[in-house]
Amino acid sequence: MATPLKFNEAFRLEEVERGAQSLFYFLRAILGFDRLDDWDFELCAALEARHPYQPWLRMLVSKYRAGHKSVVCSQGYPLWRGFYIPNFSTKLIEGSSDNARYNHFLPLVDLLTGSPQSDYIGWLFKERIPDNWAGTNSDRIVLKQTNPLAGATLSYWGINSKFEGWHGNCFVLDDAQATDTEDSEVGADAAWRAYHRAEPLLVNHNVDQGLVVGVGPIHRRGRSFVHELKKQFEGALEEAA
Amino acid sequence: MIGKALDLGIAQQGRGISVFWMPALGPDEEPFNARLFTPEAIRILRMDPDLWRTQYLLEGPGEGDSEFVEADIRAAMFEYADAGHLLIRYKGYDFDEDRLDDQGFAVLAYSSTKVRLDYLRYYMHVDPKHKKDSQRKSKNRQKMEAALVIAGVAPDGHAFVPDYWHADAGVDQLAVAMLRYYCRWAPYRVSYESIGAQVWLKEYIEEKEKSDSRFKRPRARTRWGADFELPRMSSRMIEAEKQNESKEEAYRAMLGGWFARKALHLDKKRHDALFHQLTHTGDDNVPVDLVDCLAQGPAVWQAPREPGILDHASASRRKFIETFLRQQRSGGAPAHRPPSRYPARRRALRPVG
Repeated sequence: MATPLKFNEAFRLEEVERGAQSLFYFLRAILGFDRLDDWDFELCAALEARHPYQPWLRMLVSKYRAGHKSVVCSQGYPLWRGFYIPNFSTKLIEGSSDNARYNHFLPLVDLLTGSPQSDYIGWLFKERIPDNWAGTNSDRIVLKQTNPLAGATLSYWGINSKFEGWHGNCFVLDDAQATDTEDSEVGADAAWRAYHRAEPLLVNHNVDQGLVVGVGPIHRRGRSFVHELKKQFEGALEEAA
Repeated sequence: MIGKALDLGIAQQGRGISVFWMPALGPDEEPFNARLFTPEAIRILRMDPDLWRTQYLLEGPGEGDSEFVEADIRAAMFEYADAGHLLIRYKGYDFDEDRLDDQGFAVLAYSSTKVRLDYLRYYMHVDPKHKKDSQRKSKNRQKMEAALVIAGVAPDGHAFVPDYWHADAGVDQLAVAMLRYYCRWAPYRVSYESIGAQVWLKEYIEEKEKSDSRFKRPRARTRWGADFELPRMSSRMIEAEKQNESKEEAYRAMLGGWFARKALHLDKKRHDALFHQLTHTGDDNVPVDLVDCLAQGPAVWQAPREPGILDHASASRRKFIETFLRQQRSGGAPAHRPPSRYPARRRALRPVG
C-alpha cells in the first residue's frame, strides 16, 4: 500500500523545488495539465534549454495542430517563469486580443483563482501570491513583485494593439498569423510587423526572451510568417556557425 | 526555495537562437505521437492534402515547388504559324457578352489568335551576375548566372518570350550578348537589375560605347527584315524597380497574375531553361536568374498601338511598290500588270537587267 502524501511544509518546499527543476512537472503535477504527453516533455526540455537543446533568447516553436504548443508556451511557460523569478513579466501577443483573452488568458485566470487546483497552487506559492489574488483581473495576472517598476506577471495584447507602455522580460507571439488569413499577404505582413514591434519591448536583450509559436497557413500559395522566420533564424544560425 | 531565479545568464553562452520544429510524422514516416496519429486519424486528415501538408507536416507554402502553376504556363505557350517564324499563334481571350455565367458575368472565351512579330514592342531584361561564387558568404544559397530575356508585348496586352540567354558569364561576356540581342530584337527599353556590383553595368556599357565601334553604332538587323541604325544601348537602359521584398514575393506579385490569366506566353519549341527555372523557384539548386529577368518586365511593359487602317494601307502600298520595282529590275511583266503609260518605243530602248 502506497504511503499517503503528507501535505506539510517539507512536502510543499520539495514540490515547489520539483516544479523549479522541471517545466513539465510544473505543468502536469502543479498546474494539473494532465493531457500533456512525452512529446510535450520534449518541448518543455527545449524551453528549459535542457541538454541537448541550446540556451535561447529567441525561439520559434512549430508543432502539429493540437500539439499543446499554446498550452506549454503561452500558458505554462510564462507562469513558470513568473512563479520562480521575481519581477519576471511576460506579454502574450496573439493575432487578436480576443483570441488571447478567451482561449489562453481567461482559462489561466480561472485555473489560478477558481478551479479545484487553485487552492493547491495557492498553498504551494503562498509567498508569491497576493491576498485574494489582488490585482489579478481579466487583463492581467499579478504576483508579488519586489521591483516597483516590474509589470504584471502575465498580460496580453492583440497584434493590432498599441505596443507601448510595457517593458518586460519575455514576449510570446502566439499564432500571430491566424490560420484564416492564409489567402492574403495581410496576415503574414501583420505578423512580421508585430514581431518587429515586440523586439524593442524587452528590457535587456542579453537575457530577455522572445518566443514565437505557430504553424504555417493552410493555403499552399499563401505566405507563411512562421516559415519565413524559420528561414531567417536558420540563416542566422548558419552565419554564426 | 521559492523565488529562486533560474540561471538566465547561461543564455549568453549559446548562439541565442533556437528552432523547435516537430511535424506529426518523423523522418521515417512514423508518427511521433502514435496515440494521437493513428492510421485512421491520418487517413481522415489526409483527405484534405493541403491541410495535412501545412498544418501537420509543417511544410511551407509551395515548399520544394514553384510559385507558379505548371499547367498554366504550359497552356499559354505560343508557336509560330509560319515557316519563317514571323507570325505568332497564341491563345487569346475575350469576354463573350452573349454568354453569361451563373452569376450573370460575361463568360471568358479563349480563341486562337495571331500576331505579327513586327507588331510587338520588345523589351530586354538583364540580370548580371554580381558576385563570383567564391565571394559569396554561404555555399547553400541559390546558384547564380548572368541572364537576359527578350519579351515582346502585343497590342492586345499579351506578352511573349521569343528569346533568352543565360550563361555563367562575367560582365564582359554579358555586354557582348546584350549587344547581340539588342541588334537582333531592337528593344524599346533595356532594364537591368542594379543591386550591389550590378550598378556598374550601365557604366561599363557606356565605356564600351566610347571605345568599341560595334557598341558605338549598333544596327538593327531583325528577323522581320528591319535594318536601321539604333541609338546607343545605354540610352535605352533603365534600372529595374526593386522593392525590399523576398524573391518569391516579387515573382508572385509580378508574374503570378500574368501566368494565371494566360497572358504571358513562352515559346512552345524553345522554353526549356526558362520553364525549368519557373517551375523550380523554390529549389536552391536551380538558378532563377531568367525568372529574375522576366519579373522585371511587367512594371515597364507597355502595349504598342494597334496597327490601324493607315498602317495597313501603307504596308499594302509599300508592298505594291516593292513588287513593282522588283519586276522593273527583272524586266518581266506579270499578267496583272497595269498597262504602261510609257510609249512602246521608249520602253524598247530601256536597258534590260
